Amino acid sequence: MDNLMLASVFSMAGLAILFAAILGVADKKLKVEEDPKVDAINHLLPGVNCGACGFLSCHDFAEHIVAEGVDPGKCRVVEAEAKQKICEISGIEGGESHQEIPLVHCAAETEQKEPIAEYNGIKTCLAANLNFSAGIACQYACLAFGDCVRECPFGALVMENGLPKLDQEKCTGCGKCATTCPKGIIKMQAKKREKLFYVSCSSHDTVLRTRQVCKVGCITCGICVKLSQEGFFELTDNLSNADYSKQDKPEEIEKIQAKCPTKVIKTI
Amino acid sequence: MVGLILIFIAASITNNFVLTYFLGICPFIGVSNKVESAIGLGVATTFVMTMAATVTWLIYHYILVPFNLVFLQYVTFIIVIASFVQFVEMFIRKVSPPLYKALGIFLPLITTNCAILGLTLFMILRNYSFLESVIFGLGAGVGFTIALVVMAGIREELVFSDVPEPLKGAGITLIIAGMLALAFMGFGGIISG
Repeated sequence: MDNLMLASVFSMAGLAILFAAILGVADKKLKVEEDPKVDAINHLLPGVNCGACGFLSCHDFAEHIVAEGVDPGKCRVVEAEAKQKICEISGIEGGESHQEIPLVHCAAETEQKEPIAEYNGIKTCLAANLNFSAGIACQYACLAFGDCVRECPFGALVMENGLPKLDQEKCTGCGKCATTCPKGIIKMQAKKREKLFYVSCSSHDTVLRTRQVCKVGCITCGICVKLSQEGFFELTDNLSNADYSKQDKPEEIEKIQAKCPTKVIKTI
Repeated sequence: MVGLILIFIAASITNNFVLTYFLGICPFIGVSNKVESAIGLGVATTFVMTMAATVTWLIYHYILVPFNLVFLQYVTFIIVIASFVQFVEMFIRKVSPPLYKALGIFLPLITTNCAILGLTLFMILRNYSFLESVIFGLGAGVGFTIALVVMAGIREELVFSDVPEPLKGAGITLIIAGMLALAFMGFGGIISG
């Protein structure tokens, strides 16, 4: 018995050392010279491989910065200081980027979602969306199973009262939540000013239908359009849309916001 | 001699690892988008298979059997396969960076390609001699390459065809894999075993 154990230990160790030696030699002989800049930039990048820049990984992005002069500003996650260093290393100007944040275009909290059926299926938004929106009357409503919360690599979203809540400190604007949402009610928007106003509803249903199924949806009364001379809002397809490029006068929009009958215009 | 040729044809065509035994399906589906990368992966896998068959045969018959360590065969085989895959990875990275990029994760994943472990286990099970094992490994690799390249060729053409919406992507790929397997069944009558 002892012999068997010794034999197995020694033969395995011997084989392992043999292969390790072969690989060690091969590693020396077949070493690939890599641009040291790539490595330096790769260390500065966050390394979360979120894909928001449009490249496969942080390493891939670093390679493209060095080889093709891709704008380092495409990375939305990296901090300004590190971005500065990346620009110095690669010799590229720029790196200016606007932080984008996800806007949830639904305001209905759990008790405001009118049920028409009981849903006992798989507890993900994706599955629920295939099953008649998990028994919620409004087919544009947030399903609240939190696919976006699970998808977020930075833990910036939490489900609260049937709606995902954003922690702006943690959010890097990678946009994964927006692509995950099966309802498509999360949209990414650049936050250029202190306050961002948006219409927190996605319903393209008629006024009557929206009224029936939701108390906090946009009912297309048009008061926001009438009150704003400069076209802060416009009505399309039974829904009011905020024009994000015209929000440099927050006081005026706040007045309109107060007049909205269903209080569907939100600030973030 | 005839025996060797028979083993080669059996391993590569009649008992094709992918299309008859359904081993190594993951790279078969994953890397069959382009003929070029399919050939690359096919050649890499063939190399690993041949070398693995050669080395595992030697280790099995000169180390494991004399010392009564046959129970360690799985671990040993995996070590051998993993080492060769590492070697191939380094080699391809040095020689052809574009191929290295095109293969991506599937290159290190050759390690977990069950066709290779299957090959070494079949080889032991069937009591092949040394030369037979080498030919068996080579044949299996060639068979894997054939399956991959045929699949890639079809999938390249598939881009232009009108596939029904629900079958697009993985669905139609699996259907084609099934049809290919059926077609390969036709070779079954040539040789048995």
